[in-house]
Amino acid sequence: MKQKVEGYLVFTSLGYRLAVDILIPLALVGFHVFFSGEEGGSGPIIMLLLPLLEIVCDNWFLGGIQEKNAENMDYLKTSSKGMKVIRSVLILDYARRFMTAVTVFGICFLMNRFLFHADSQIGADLILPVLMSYSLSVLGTLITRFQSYLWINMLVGYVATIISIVFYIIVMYGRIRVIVINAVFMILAVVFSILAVKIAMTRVEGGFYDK
Amino acid sequence: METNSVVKVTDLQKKFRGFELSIPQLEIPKGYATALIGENGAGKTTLLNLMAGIRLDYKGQIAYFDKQEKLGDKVQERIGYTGPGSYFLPHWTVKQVEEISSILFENFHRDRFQTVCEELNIPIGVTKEVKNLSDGNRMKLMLATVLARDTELLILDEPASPLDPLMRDKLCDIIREYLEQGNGEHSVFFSTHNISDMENVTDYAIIMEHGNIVEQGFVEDLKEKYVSVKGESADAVAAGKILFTMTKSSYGFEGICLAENMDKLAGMDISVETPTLSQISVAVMKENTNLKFA
Amino acid sequence: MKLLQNSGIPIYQQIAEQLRADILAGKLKEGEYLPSIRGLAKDLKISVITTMKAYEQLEAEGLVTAAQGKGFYVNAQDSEMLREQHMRKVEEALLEAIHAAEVAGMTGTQLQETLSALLSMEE
Repeated sequence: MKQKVEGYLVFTSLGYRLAVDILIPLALVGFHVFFSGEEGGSGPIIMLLLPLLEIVCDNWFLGGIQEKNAENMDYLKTSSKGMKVIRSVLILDYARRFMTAVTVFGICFLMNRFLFHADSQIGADLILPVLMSYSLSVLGTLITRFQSYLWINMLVGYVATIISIVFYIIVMYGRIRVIVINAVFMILAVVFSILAVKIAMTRVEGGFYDK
Repeated sequence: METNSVVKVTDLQKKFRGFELSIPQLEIPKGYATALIGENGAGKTTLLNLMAGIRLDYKGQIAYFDKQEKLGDKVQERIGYTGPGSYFLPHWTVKQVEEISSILFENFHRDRFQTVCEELNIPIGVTKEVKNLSDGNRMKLMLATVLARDTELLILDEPASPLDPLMRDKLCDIIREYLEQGNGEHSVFFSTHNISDMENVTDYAIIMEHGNIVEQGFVEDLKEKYVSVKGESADAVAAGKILFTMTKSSYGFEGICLAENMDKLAGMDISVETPTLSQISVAVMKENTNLKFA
Repeated sequence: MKLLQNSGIPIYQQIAEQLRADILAGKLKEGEYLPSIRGLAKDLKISVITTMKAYEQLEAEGLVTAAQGKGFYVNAQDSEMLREQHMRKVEEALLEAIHAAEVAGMTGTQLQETLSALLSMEE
């Protein structure tokens, strides 16, 4: 495990880690405080932003890893450990994303509860934002990693934002119970994560063979 | 000359987009530097990729080192490969390349890597990303990663191409030093278009055309097999039937002749000299190419 | 060791020649090892196979012997062979003198007289 974490740390660039580990969480919590008024939490705003930011930042982490001729994998392919390292890097990054979501929304939730004295629910104001933003960011990068243009990452990020808005409206005004939506996103989160690792690995290992 | 082989290829076949690589038998001699020469599209990169283990779909056998091992963890540790084009992830910094290498390879020595980087004057900055390095510096960085490991075989795909003349000279020194350190146990296999620059470091040459090996041998033997001939216009037609390859001009002719056919030139006013590897390669390539020459 | 790239004499012959001279002059003594093949190639900036060929030539002449995995060592130079080697040198020099004499239009007798004169001067 120690070696896997080491692998992940050296694989990610300093800029990426700075962004996803420090700047984005700080900014989102800052937004939360800024937009939270008398009546409490700003819930939706940061929920909309997290997938967008994750998808954009992924461009300078693993952008293009699923491209057809990902020849930039040659160095990794010459090592017997190369493929294992990539797999653990992919998995650890999803774990990291999940933790980022938990941390950011956890802090906001606690602030709502104890600072703004808002009437926040664990299901709707903590679990839902975590699962929804996580699933959308995984789905988003699953798509964007087939290419390496930043603007496509941005575009996909915006689409993820719109989807978030739609779902948020459904939850706020809809009749569907939060627990059902959470269950659905739980399943989606797991499915997307497995799919994303599978697809990326198939593409990278496909580099050993002609297509 | 009796030599052991470091890589032994048997019945190798690979089809790829209308191109077919076919090598019934090939042995890369152990303890020497072997050059792979040929036109673009002759199949050099494909062969090197198969040997380096970054392409795995082929028919036939490739066996490595004394025990004729198959490609696997242990064998990969002993092979260093550098390739053309992008090789590292573009956003990696030189520092990251060092750290990742020490995870990827058991026998990677970070201190040696730093020494080589310094020796080759590779810009090491925390923020200097691979994609911002020049082609030459990226090649140097690849060399640094393989030289920092304890390998027994280097497979280098066009190492000289992106380098300037000074660095090409240095590359030759690096190869000779690597061979010397191994005392017969280290081998180098590289492809090159820059035959003249690499001639003084080439022990064995393999010439490929259309996915086949058309000539191979120790350079000193090839230099005895072929003779460079120059002669007068009057003999051009007669000589043309005997010479391996020939170019004519109004002043005379020059070409390469197989040594065994030299006696057939008796009576002609010719001067002969030992050809360079470059001349031999061009002659063999001309004989096999689809390119049209006047 | 001095190597000329464009002298027309193959590099391996130049190496063999210089090592031969060193051995015959006793600079490289009996039992002493020649520089390692790959070490010499590195120092001279030439390919390993060229050095190899030079050493193999010396081996064929009986000047050195290859020891498995250890390189090449200098053989005992028996006096008979040394004498032969030196005689060959004398012959070469004399042949050159004969050619020069032809160019100068000297007769055989004149050449012999010159040689005797030179010999007496040396004594």
